[in-house]
Amino acid sequence: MVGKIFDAMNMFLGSVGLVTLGLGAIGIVNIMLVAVSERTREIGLRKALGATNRSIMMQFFLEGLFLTTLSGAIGIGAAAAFMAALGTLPSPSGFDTPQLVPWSAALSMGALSVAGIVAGIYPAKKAAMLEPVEALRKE
Amino acid sequence: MLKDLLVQAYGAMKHNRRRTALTMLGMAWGIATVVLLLAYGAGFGRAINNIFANFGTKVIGVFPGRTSTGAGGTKAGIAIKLKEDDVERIRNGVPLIRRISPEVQIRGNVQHESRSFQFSVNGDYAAIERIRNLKVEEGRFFNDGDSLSRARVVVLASEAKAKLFSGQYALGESIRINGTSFTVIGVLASGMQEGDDDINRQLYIPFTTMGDLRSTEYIDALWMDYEGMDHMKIEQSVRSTMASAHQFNPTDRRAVQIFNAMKQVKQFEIITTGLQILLAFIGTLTLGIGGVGLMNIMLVAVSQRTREIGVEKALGARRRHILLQFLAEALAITFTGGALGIVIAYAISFGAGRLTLYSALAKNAEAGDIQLLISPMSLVVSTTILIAVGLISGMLPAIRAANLDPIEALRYE
Repeated sequence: MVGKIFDAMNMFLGSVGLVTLGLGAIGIVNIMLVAVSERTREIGLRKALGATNRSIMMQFFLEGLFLTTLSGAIGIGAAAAFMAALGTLPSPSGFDTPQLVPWSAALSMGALSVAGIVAGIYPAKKAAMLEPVEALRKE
Repeated sequence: MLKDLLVQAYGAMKHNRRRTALTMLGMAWGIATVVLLLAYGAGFGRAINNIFANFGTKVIGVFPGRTSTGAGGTKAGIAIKLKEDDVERIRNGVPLIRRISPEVQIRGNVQHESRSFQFSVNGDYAAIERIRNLKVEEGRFFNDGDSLSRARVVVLASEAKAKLFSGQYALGESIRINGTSFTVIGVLASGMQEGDDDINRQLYIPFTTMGDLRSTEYIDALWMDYEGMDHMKIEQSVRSTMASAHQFNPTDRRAVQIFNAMKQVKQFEIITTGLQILLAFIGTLTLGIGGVGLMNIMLVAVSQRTREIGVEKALGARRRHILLQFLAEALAITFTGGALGIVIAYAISFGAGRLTLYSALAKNAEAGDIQLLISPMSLVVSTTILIAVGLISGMLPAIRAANLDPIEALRYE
């Protein structure tokens, strides 16, 4: 019976977390779209010098992966540090100190990485499809 | 001037439709989260209040116990028995007590026509209706006149009525309690019922009439409510009044057991406040994510339009003109997004309806569930947070733009 209340609470906090995650994803998608479309000329230049579509996609995939993994690790590190700090404070009776749940950390990092990488690869692909001359001419 | 700024901002936003839309969505999403979290906190507080109001919040109950320490030459372990006289003693000893009633309870065999059940039957003063916050749905509660005339009248709680009468009309009908016949004068509304609690299967009869069913020399409980807010002080003076009347040590907490509803209310108030602070904090962080997104995009916008800024400055634009131009753009995105977000939050709160809280535990407890309440206060709080976030994330890129050197800016590729 009491379990139901905690289920409801977990559901609520979980959906808050998902919403926040979605918000973070929007931010990443937006900035990746801008960043990659700004580099259309760079892509054109690479293609003119003989890069294949695949190598360009690979470049942006790795960049996105690196960026999101690094920032995800920073975020989880900060969360762990904050929880450790909370743990040293005297907590009210009946409250456990908050703990890092591995699967939720992995889920949030995974979701943000996918958002970042997809948002980076999509404009990169569009740019790579252009004729090198067109891409170079683009302002 | 303002119009120029807005037109300019609108132009810039239209130029990059997708980018603007995504940033705006981020802000809307953020503000909707803040508003909904605050609404959840407010709804949680309301639910807790409703749960306690079901039972009455300013209620103190006193029950007989057994001494655990000796006092004035007596040994420990003496049973303390309460009597009807204690009503008068408490009334005189604790002036802040507003209403008080003794209670005598029996398990009675209750009969109507061919149906027969075991229910709890309570003998109380008429004041118990207000003290315990009993809500009469049909008919009336018994009054002081009924008590004086030792009237054989009974008030049924909802489930007791349903069992005895099913759907039939109960008022004016007669039932038998342990063989004595009583007239039904009232039926109570259903209260929130937790688990096997029998709050909805009780019968109430006047205290005097209870004397026909059982000796009322010793009573099972004293129920009272009080004026003022100092619930601990009142509990203490009730205890010391009882201590001097029954000769036990006033610090002996087991001699009489005291139930103080307000103590629990206060504990839950602390939890509610903690939850609200936590939720506001989470909401601010969430909106902060939207703010970082906005700042990022504005920084990109500044660096993409460096040459435009150079031209404007070369043509005589002052630093504050440039600053205002970019700040206006950021704030336009913030407020459009914010308005959108509040609309979304309202839509969700109407759509979500009740979120299970207490009804998981108790019957008839819909009022104890969380309703998302968007109060004017939470709108003010979230708008304040929104303005702060918009200003901070708009200001930095705007300052950067304003500080550009015109010649450098013009040369920028």
